[in-house]
Amino acid sequence: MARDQVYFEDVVEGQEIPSLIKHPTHRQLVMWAGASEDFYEIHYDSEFAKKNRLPGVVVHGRLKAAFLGQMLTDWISPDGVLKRFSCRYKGTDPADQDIFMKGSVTSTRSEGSEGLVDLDIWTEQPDGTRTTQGTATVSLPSRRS
Amino acid sequence: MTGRLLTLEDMQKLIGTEGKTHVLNVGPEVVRRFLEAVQDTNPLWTDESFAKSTQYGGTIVPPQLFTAIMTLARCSPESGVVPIPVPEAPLPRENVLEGEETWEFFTPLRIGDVITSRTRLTDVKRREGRLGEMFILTYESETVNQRGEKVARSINTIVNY
Repeated sequence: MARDQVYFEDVVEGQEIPSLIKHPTHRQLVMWAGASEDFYEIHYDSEFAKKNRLPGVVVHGRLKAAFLGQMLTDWISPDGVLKRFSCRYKGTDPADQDIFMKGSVTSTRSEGSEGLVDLDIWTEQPDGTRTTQGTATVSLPSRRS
Repeated sequence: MTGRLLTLEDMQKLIGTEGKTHVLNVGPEVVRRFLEAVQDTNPLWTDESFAKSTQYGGTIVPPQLFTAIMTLARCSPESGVVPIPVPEAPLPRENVLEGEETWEFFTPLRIGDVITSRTRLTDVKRREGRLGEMFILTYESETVNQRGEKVARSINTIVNY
């Protein structure tokens, strides 16, 4: 993730930010369960997941939220600030499948001395199905400061 | 409560119920476990000599750590139920789906901070939907650090049916 700092003046409405791709394995879901203390069995026990009418083990919603956070912090680092983000969990994502985190800029605005950028953010399956939808606001440094 | 199902009116009386306060020492192991689980290698979180040259003056904790710790009750090992934010306010129905969550970040977290979180039930709505009768419960959490500075706030809705 060695990227140059992105500045407020560089950003245009409508642009897509660099996408983040993850491939959550069962092991990764177990590590997330340990880190988050979410031990719900649908995330590591296939039989339990199927009894709950799921195709198999599914990715924790909040792990997807963490991935979206990483997409944003990867983009703005090191001198940007993540102010807020939201996630609506629309669908489940199975383990062992690529998941794409994406974002696009909806507005840029100044608030006092801060350059703020608002975005739509979402997660997508390989076939384009969006499973999480949300928004975010980041603050970016100015080239002039 | 008797054996009857809780109604919207019952639930609205519970608005304002606060769960127990949670305290967390954001130690290096908490952060390491998070970073390894998500596979995030941003040097801003771990490389002091790199982070010193940034506006933060040193490493910070990734704000998205709050997706892992912004605290919900642990799920019961017997029932495997999805954790709910304020178990002191009982859910009116059996099944839970996560709805929407928002996290806002204020003072950056640093390793070694001790944070305190309080969560309350702030709204209950009822809808008829594709799952039948559905309750939408909204919870708000506020987290401060050991200096009393606000570090995060979250709003979390769950769908109960």
